[in-house]
Amino acid sequence: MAHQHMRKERPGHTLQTSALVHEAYVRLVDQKQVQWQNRAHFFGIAAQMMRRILVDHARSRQYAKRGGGARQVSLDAVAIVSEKRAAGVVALDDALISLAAIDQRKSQIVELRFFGGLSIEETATVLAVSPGTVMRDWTLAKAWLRREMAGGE
Amino acid sequence: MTPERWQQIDELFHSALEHESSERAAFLGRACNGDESLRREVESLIGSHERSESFFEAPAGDIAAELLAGRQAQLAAGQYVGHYQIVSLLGEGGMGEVYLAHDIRLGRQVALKRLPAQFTLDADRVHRIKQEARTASALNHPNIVTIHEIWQADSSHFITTEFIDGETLRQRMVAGRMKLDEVLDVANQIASALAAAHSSGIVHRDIKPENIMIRPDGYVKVLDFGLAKLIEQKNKSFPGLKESADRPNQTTKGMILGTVSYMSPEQAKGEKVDERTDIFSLGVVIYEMIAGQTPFASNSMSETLANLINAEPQPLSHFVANVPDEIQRTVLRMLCKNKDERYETIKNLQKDLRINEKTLKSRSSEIKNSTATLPATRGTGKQTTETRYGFFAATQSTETASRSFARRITHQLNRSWLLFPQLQEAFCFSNGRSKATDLNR
Repeated sequence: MAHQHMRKERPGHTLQTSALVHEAYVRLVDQKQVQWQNRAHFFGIAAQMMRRILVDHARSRQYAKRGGGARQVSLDAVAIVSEKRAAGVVALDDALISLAAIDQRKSQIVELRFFGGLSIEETATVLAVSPGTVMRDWTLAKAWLRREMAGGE
Repeated sequence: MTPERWQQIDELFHSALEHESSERAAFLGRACNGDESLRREVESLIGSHERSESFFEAPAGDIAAELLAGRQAQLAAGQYVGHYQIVSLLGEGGMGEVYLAHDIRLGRQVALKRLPAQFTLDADRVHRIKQEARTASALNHPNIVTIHEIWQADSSHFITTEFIDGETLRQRMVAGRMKLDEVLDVANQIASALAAAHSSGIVHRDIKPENIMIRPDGYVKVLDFGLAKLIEQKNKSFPGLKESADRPNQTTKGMILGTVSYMSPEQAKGEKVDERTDIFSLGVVIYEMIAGQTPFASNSMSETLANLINAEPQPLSHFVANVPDEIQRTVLRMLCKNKDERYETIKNLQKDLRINEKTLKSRSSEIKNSTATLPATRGTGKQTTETRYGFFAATQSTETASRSFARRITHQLNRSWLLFPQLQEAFCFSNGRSKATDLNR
């Protein structure tokens, strides 16, 4: 059987993800005045940007769904599962803001892990703490955020 | 909540988790010592911890595709779309699904591509794309796949092309390592397709292994000429991005073309691109054919971005023994971040590729057994250094074993530079005061 035009792109490397990366890249490159102090600094900013882009997008999607952008044909085909995800991202953003007020480091860990896609070890390096600490913080932060997000529904 | 209280909750939470679930209640009863609100708080967090919830399991980068994409139902075998009958699904990716279909009017097999629903196009744009696709097809070049038709049914756009019975370059790389002469042969054929297109003013914009087919007879066919333009539109319908106030020089000119790993820096920036973007992407493809991995892609999106912006590719000699210097120079020149430093035209590149082929032939006895020493790994995702070098060691002759070991150490050091501050200077960061704090929400 022929396998013509097979597009076995890895998950996370689809066009849509590229759009996200593209945006983050442009934003990073456009920060001309920023002098990257080090790699950790770069990752911190990159994760923040990923968060903003995704949350902006998720919020605008919710807004569109409520009628604000009813004329945007491109949003019509959006599946329910994505709506749930969009709502989840917005709820997470809100919950993270609350978490940051209680525990800044745990909130940062979630930002780096979830939005920045960093591993436990990379996160530990960026924050200059041990991987064990990141693991513990990550566990509690997830439990706390889940509860917070469930309560907001 | 006071920090002390939170600290207390934090510690109790982890201590409780270390206990068997049957003993937790008793443990918490003792530990909380009558503080009921503390106990309730910790119990509720443990309850939340134990609830199965996959939200955090996939990093945001992975769910982004889901978030941003519209989904549409797949076409079923036997179903008719226009005068085409669907035979089977061949694959799907960021640019939609591809089906094998039967053209009932002309009685031939075609590849039918359906674009994702969000690529809604205005008539003017479709017209221009068709023009370009037609021009590309009219080149009638042996290395360019012919586009038959671009058309619309209901709300979807379809593209039918010549059906090629072969494998993609991605599949070829996954199947096993490529010898340098094969690499150069494939590179030459791609370059030949690009030269023909460029001379007609067409830039491909999306050169990557998935867009390159290899037929069993060795012919290389480049897919989707001009089609990358289809998705430039998307930038305008990406609502969340318009709002951001902190984007100086916001470009609406361009949009992502191709997957990140193969993008030229100017493309990643959304700038206007010319032929030299294809030269860069082809450079990434050649690099990958030889090294088994792309020069800038990494495990996380952040790191890929960092590499795109700052990192120089590792020399090919890190991955493969005996790559002639000429080939190395050619590839590195293709990968220059500044397009003015790359080959100016594909014709200039072709000249060097041919010289490379000659050099390789003249040295063939010397390098006969030192082809791409590493298996292509991209298709299967991450591969550990250990695995990779396990293979490396197994394929090296004893006389090169010590060199291989040295390379291994260097490579591992390079990989773990994240963990060594002194290696970070390799990353070209400058010191200075940050003004980026205003990025905080």
